[in-house]
Amino acid sequence: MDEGARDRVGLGWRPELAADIHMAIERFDVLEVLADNWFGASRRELSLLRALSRDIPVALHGVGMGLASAARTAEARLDAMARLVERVAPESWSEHLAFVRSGDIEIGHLCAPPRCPETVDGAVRNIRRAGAVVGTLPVLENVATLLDPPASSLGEPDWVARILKAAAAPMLLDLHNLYANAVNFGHDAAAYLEAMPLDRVTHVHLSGGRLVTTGDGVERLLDDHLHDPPDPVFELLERLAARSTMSLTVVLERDGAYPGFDVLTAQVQRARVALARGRAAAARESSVRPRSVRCAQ
Amino acid sequence: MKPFPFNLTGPDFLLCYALFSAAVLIIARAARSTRELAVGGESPRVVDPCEIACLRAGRDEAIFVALMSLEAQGLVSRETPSKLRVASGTAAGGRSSLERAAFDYVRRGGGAAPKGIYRDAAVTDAADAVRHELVERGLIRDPWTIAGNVGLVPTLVALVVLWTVALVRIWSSGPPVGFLCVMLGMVTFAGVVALANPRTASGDAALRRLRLSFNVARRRVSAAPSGSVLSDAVLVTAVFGLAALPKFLRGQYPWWQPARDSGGGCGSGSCGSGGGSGCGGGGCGGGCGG
Amino acid sequence: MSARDVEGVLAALYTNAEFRARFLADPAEACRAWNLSAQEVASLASIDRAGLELAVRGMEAKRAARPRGPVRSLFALLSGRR
Repeated sequence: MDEGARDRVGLGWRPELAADIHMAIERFDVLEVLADNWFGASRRELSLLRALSRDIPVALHGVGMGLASAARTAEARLDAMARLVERVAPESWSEHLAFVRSGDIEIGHLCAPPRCPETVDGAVRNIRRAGAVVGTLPVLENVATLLDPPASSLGEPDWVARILKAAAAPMLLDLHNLYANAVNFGHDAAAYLEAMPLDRVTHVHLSGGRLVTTGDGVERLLDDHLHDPPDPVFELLERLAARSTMSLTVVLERDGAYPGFDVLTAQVQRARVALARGRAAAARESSVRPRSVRCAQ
Repeated sequence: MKPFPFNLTGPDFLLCYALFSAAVLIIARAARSTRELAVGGESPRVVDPCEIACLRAGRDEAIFVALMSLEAQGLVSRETPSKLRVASGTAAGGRSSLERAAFDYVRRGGGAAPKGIYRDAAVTDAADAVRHELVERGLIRDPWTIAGNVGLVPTLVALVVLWTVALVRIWSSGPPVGFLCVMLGMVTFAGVVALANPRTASGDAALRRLRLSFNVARRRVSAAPSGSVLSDAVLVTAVFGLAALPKFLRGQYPWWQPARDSGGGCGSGSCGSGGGSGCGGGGCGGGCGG
Repeated sequence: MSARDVEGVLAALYTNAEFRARFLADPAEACRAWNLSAQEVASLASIDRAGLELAVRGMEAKRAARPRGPVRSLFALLSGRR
């Protein structure tokens, strides 16, 4: 099967982009919607999501579950996602390998937990429960972090791979998050990519960020979703397409400081080109050395 | 012994009459909506500005938006505040047949009297074609055709006839029928109101989808400072009406706006669905930014 | 080892300026409220302070920018509360 033929590229749906997306929906293969903003939506508001899901595949993307935690994810959050999935009928839903609260403290942000066997076990339990409540397993996304989580005994790729294998869950590989972590903690981005469980990657995010600096002049790359994806992210996408045996669904994320809509669609097109180049490279290699291929579900 | 409900008297009879009539109208309207959604789709996507304007408020609104669109494309310009002319060196223009007909009207000298465009045969023919296209897609109905009102008109007529007969029978046997006459009038009025929306259930769903999709664009446009160039103005006007534009823009159009009797439309305000209340709140939170 | 307690310390560092100041002055003392091993306390004590500063700055900026009022907040869902 030609997995490249089933690669898809789309855009993160935002209210600020809704009008342009309505007028040019044919430019995209898929739309991704931030689920948490729709949990309390009225029937009338949800009619828009249902309308979109009839015209184009829609994926729901959650940000508030905090699945990758030694603590148990609240049942109410799983129920909220389950209700939304039932009402909207998306083709998939995703969440993050992050914790977002502890006890009564709401952090309000996606944070990397200590990467250790205890959080692996906690994440797997939470993911399995989430899959049982919602009806399907979530696709799980790696997060960017500005500080290496303390009390960690595992590296990020190993930690991610253990969780996904034990939970039998697919991965949403955020290439800018991967790139930011590689830059911030002294890894080679290409090698970091290779170390991830690429055989589980079915979805990809592309986004951008900016350098931030402490008072002492220490620089880190912040994944803020307010900037264009940098060249290295598209290079990583091409590399991923060359390595992956799965069909890939790629979503461009932008949360603000929106450029013109043509700029966003040009970035979507650039992603298509990167995917095609990667697949072509893989085809050239496999014509020399055949490999087994698999298609996404 | 009179049969039910004629064995009821006074307020009981009126209540029965009101409940029965309401049930019949509600069921007939629900059945019509179900049928229309099956034909037109549950949430069709309309993207042409003239079609959107026609869907919202009728034929003349489509013509008005066509003129706005021509100006936004630079194909026509204002020679004076109340007189349009075609851009020099432009022989033809417009993205749709209605826009091209409107452009041709201005080119023929009609720009000196913009309001005449609503009576120009070529333009109204093109606008009728837009309207017809929406009827074909099952988004608006032609109220004077049987196909547009199967189920509801006969139901309403049957109701009126039934209760008129009942009224005559009751009157002929003595009891006062004043309140019953009032109820008959109210039922008839309710039935007519149910017919007054020129949009089908699919059309309402399409307009609702547009208003939700364009809600942020509308807020952005309506809050724009004086003198801004607004690329969204035509589409926002098509979806929400001229009232959605900021004051400095609205004031430029009264001399070429249509009269309010725009051929089957509901006016520029909401009709069957209100303005969007926003989806996802003001923005989408923090997203996944690290 | 209690990863849950480490998460608790991290959550407090990210959100509580007073606790953060106490922690940076004396990590071991500040962590007494949690059930942490000596190894965990040592690991927390050597936390990446530059990264912590930047993370907190970003989170505070995001909290300040978040719209108030009836708008649905990203993290407002608690036991079905919007």
